[in-house]
Amino acid sequence: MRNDKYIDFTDEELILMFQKTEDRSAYTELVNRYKDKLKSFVFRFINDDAVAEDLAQETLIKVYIKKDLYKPVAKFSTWIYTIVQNLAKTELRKRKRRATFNFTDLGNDDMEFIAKSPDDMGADEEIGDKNDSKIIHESLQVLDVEFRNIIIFRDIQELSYDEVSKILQIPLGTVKSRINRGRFKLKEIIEQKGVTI
Amino acid sequence: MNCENNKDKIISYIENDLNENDRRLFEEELKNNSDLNSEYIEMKNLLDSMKNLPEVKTSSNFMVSLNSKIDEYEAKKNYKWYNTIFDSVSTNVRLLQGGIAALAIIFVIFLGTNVLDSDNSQPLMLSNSNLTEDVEINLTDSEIDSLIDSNKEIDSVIE
Repeated sequence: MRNDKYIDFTDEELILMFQKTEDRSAYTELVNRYKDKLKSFVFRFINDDAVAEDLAQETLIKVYIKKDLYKPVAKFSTWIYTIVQNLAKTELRKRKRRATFNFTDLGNDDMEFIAKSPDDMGADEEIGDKNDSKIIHESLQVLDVEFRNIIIFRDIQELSYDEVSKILQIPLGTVKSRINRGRFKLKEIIEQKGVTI
Repeated sequence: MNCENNKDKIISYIENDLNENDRRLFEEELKNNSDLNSEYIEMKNLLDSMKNLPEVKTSSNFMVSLNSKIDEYEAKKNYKWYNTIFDSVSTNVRLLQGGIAALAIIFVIFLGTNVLDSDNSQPLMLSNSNLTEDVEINLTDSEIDSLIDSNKEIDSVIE
C-alpha cells in the first residue's frame, strides 16, 4: 500500500529518513519507486523473468540491511543501480560457468539439440511477427556485456552519462564512446536479422 | 568525412550536443547524403524505440514476498540481539553468583573468628585481670623451700 505522505520526498531524503528513524514506510516508498526499474534492468540484461524478480528483491533487501552504507554524497539511484548491476553481473558469470560445464559435457550427437540463440535465427523465422521491443530485447542479449549494461542504463533506463559513469566506475569519456559503439553494434545485430526498427 | 566521424556526429546531433554552426552543417550534409540520412533515421528510430520499451513489472506477489523476507531478517536479528543480551546476563549472573558465594564464605569465616574470639575473650580477660591483681598467697617456710628446690631441679634439667 502506497503512503501519500512520502510522495513529495526525494529518494535521498527517504533513505536518510530510513537511516535515522528506521521508518519502514520511507523504505516502502523507495521500493515502490524502484522495484520495476530494477527488474527491468535485470530482465534486459539477463533475459530471465524469475531471476530478474529475485535479483530485484535481493537488491532491495540489501538496501534494507546495508542502509547505513549509503552516503549522501552520491545519488540514491547511483547506489541502488550499482548494487543491482553487481548482482546481475555475478549471476551472468555463474550462468556462463554453468553453460560452459554443460556444453563440455555434451557429445557431438547432442549438439544439434542445443537451442538457437536469437542471433542464430533465420531472418524468415517468425521475425515478421515480432514487434520492435521484442527484436530489441533479443538483440540486446547478443550484444557484448560491456555494451549491454551501458546501453540499458543510458538508452532504456535513461540515466545521465555522469550517473552511468559513476555506476560502472569508468571515465565519462569512455562511457560516451562505449555507448556510441554499442548503439551501432546493436543496430548491426538488428540489421543482420533482416529487420529495421 | 570518415565513417566513425559520421557515427559520432549522428549521435551528437540526436542528443543535441552540436553547436549551432556544426548543427547547421550537419543538417546540410543530411540533405545531400542519402546514406548518411538513412543511417541517421535508423539510429534515431532505434534510440526512440529503446526509450519506449515497456517497463518490466514485478509480480503481484513481490511486495508480500519482500516484506516476509525482511520480517524474517528482523526476527533473526532480534533473536540474535536477545540471545546476546541473555548470554551476557547469564555470564554476569554466574559471576555475580560466584562473587556472592565468595563474600558469603568470607563473611562466615569472619563471623566464626569473632564468635571464637568472643568465646575465649571472657576467660582471657579474666586471666588478664587476674594477672594484674595483687594476689595474696600465704605459704609456710618449708613450702617456700620446697618450691625453690623444685625450681632448681627444673633449671638443672634445662641446662
